[in-house]
Amino acid sequence: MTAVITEQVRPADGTGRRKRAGLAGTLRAERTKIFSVRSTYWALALLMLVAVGWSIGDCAGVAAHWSHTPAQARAGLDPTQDSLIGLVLLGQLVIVALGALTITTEYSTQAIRTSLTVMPRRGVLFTAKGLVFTVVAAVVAFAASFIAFFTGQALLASTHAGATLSQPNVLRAIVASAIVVVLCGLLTYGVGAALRSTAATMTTVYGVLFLLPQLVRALPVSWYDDVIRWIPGGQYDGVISSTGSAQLIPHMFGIWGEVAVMAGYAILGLALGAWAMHRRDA
Amino acid sequence: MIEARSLTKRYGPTVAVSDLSFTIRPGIVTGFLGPNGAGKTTTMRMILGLDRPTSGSVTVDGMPYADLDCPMREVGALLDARAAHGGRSARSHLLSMAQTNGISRRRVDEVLGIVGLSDVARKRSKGFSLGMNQRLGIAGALLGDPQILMFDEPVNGLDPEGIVWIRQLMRSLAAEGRTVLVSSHLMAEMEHTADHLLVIGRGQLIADCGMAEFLDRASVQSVRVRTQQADVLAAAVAAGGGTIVSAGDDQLEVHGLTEDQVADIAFANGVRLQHLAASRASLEQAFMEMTADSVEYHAAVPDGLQLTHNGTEAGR
Repeated sequence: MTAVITEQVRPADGTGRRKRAGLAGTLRAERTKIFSVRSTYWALALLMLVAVGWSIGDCAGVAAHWSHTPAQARAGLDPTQDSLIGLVLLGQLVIVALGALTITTEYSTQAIRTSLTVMPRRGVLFTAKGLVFTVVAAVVAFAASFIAFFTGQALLASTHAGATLSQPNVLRAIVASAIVVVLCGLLTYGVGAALRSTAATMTTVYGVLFLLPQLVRALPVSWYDDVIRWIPGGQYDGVISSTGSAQLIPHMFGIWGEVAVMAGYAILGLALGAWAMHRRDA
Repeated sequence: MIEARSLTKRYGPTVAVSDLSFTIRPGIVTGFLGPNGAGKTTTMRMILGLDRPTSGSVTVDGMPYADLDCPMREVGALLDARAAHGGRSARSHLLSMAQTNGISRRRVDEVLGIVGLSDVARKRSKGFSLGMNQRLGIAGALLGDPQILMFDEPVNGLDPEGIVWIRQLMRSLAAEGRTVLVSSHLMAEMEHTADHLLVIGRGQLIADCGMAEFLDRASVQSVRVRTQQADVLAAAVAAGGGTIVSAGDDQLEVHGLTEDQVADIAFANGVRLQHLAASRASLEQAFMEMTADSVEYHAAVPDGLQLTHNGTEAGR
């Protein structure tokens, strides 16, 4: 290694425009970060795979057994739900991992020290990271939702029972399914900023999304009906991916109601994360 | 210019940094010394706004770090060699840093060249050696061409060539008029690099003075003598104002007199000497003595420290 001389340390040609560091630059930095680690690509590919894979398995199965499916069962078919439920149910598992890793790897690798040294305004960093995650997750979740829908309906073509976008509530189900997946990711991002550990974050969020609805079953039936609609996870996967009327499941909120409940939890998680990021030593 | 006023950090009942006040000036290398756990890293983290002081304050160019317009253009910091995501390439890591402060891509490639990582710029830093990670951290510190540089234990894990490189880098940065703060628990390293010393032990300031002053005041002149007539000489030295700190079969170690004075006393008393040598405590020893019981000493270099040499020649 040759010795450094003065001229080498100084920039030959300046260091670029001098302007107060803010959200715009931090957004660019976070975009660079999310696309420069492999786990992002793995998670996004996996999200696509579980959404489309489930749709293929479910719809192909329905089509294969169609000739000996009784008329009553045929009438009860919700082809949109069959193609989307995989995204809502399994997509949650994947997006929780991505949402957690987005923030927790900063702590596990100590990269957070670097991030907060170059952008000491913590709210700006938390916002930029959250926005970049939201955009990336939304693009892939919406793509997965539409691809899963169209793939599933193509497989159901032989039954002539498939759904089309022009039918009532179909587009609503596709959009809401993607939104809920993104909201699960945001909830996890917030919890991750508060807990800082990948394992603790994923365990906590999986517990809330998958275990809590099961625990609520221990309640007396009358209580259960009142409580379950407020629980993230719960039976909302069925509600959200359905094209049925708002009261598909009597004790649940309608489709947008369930999305709103999930959004409430996401906001709660984000508030918790923002508070922890602001208050605690890095 | 970094200024700390009564900087204090407590973790529950543990006091990590206690009432620290100092000013770090431009144009020189300031060595930040202290044993492991003395509070060096905590202090540096507070300067960078990563940790919130329990009380007191610290400013960079007159304002809290978080208020700086472009932090990277004011302060470059190497806090932890591995403060990077191992799955990210060296270049992506630096590029993401640069983007927050509007620093050009050209500068990213430039600093990769300065630290000698151009060839591995697109490799994931997971596979880097500690020394390479250290260089990556330094590249990040240099990105914004800042006037203030802070290095926490920069020679850790570096090979001798790398150590010389770091030393020259720090010296040349200071020579350009920049403020350079470098922490270390290795006193010997400081002797070669620092102009000014900030010594802390158990979170408290022990010394804030020039390197030469530190050595003069902290180290004690010691004279070793070997003679067949140790008893005679010991008595004469004691009468002449010296202190015998250790005595062996035919060996004496004398404090409080120069070797010329000891030689004169020996001559006047007809004592024949086999060996006469002055040794000065190294910075390392002076430092260990000082920090061994740091609570006794506040903010000034204590005079007349009693140094023991354990029969080894001090290394200066």
